Amino acid sequence: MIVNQIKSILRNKANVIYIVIMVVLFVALNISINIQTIIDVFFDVQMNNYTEKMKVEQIKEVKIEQVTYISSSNFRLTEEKEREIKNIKHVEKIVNHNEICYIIVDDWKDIEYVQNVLDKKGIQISRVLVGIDMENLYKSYSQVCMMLRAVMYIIILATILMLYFCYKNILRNEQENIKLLTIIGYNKKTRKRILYLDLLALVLIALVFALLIEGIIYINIMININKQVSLSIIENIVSNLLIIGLPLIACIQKQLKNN
Amino acid sequence: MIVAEIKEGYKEYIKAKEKIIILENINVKFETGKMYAITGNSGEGKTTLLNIIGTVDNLTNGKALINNKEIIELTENEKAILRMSQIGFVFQNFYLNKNMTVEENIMQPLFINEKYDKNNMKRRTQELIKQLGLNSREKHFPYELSGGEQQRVAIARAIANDPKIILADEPTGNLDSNNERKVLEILKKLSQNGKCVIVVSHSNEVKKYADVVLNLEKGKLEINEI
Repeated sequence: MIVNQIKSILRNKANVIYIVIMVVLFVALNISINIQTIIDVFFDVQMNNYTEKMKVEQIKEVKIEQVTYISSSNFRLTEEKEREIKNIKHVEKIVNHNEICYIIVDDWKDIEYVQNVLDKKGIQISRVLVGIDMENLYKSYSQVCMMLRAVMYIIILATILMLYFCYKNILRNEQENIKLLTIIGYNKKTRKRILYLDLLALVLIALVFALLIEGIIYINIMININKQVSLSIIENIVSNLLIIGLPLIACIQKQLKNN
Repeated sequence: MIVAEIKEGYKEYIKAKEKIIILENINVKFETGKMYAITGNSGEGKTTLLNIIGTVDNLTNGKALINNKEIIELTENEKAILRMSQIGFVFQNFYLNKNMTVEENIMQPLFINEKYDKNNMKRRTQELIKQLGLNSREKHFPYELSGGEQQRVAIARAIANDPKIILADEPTGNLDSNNERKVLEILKKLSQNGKCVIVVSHSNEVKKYADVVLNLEKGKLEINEI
């Protein structure tokens, strides 16, 4: 039964255009979800190019200039405060000198995060990056990240809406066939199963094509930046399941209410 | 054997706050081994009556019974089982799945019948294809068939689960006279083989094949046994 139903929906030429739309949506969605990782790698490569001959610590250092509660010129970071700062995410270690303390972070890209947290705790710090080029690179990175985050949310929203539109139209094309199944004697549970499987078949086909295209894009990017990019598979699977699945369920439930 | 019955049947619709009476005081019994023709002008309620017997619609008042069970007391699942096992539908526009072959269209009702496994399903489908004269057309799609052939596929699908009742709503409406005759002959043969065949039609040709002619006029039913 399921095989026949799926054959029927795939033979409907009107559904081909929806498969194409879904492929485009899935590719855009997955690129937007993973683009941050690619941008991080890209900027890492740029940063490493600048600092090839320098000590890694100099890139990662953050200098404390002022602590609000200490007025003495002989500055010392208290043990309690030191512990508090060490517990901040991305802080690797603290190097405590007489008047200057250095907070070493895991990665140069985490400087702003640590800076913001310390700011909230009333500790003002200055960033030390060697050379104006690196400072500019860091600013570019921050701006690109902010833009990408906005683009990602827009793409996610657009994908959900467009997918709902696609599913609705696919089911509309199948409306007559669903009515026929009711008359033949298919109960609601069976009709529901058929609707889910019909849509899932089309979604899976679109996903396979989308994965092939994404694979080609990622390989090209890796060749261009000459570095391996590792993507979080679990994050991708969960995001895709939610974004693809939720409008599908909503659409089918609405269809079943109308029938 | 009486398979379907309407007792004191009454059906009305409310449209723009106006009450429209479709069926009034309908009392009729349908037996196996007979062919019934329901005639009347457009809008007299012929299709509504058919839909009520087919459990697709309900009476406003009165009783509609299939195999002595009141339809209104059945759950949705029970109605679905009834439609699957006891009732077959044939429509004017054939109502075939355009994206399924002849074979696949005929098999559709068999999938939900637990009596049939894969092998029996194929065997039963081949039986019906032969019975309805559709050999060599089984892998064709509806758009590749003539009107008469499409209607024969629809009839094959309707009788796939060997139902007791066949409901045909203007089955010859889109056919030429030659094909009309062929389809009516098939339906007549089904009634002679023990089925209760109920045909709604404007065509006078149907009356020649029917054992009982029911005329619907202004919501009331006139029964003429031939």
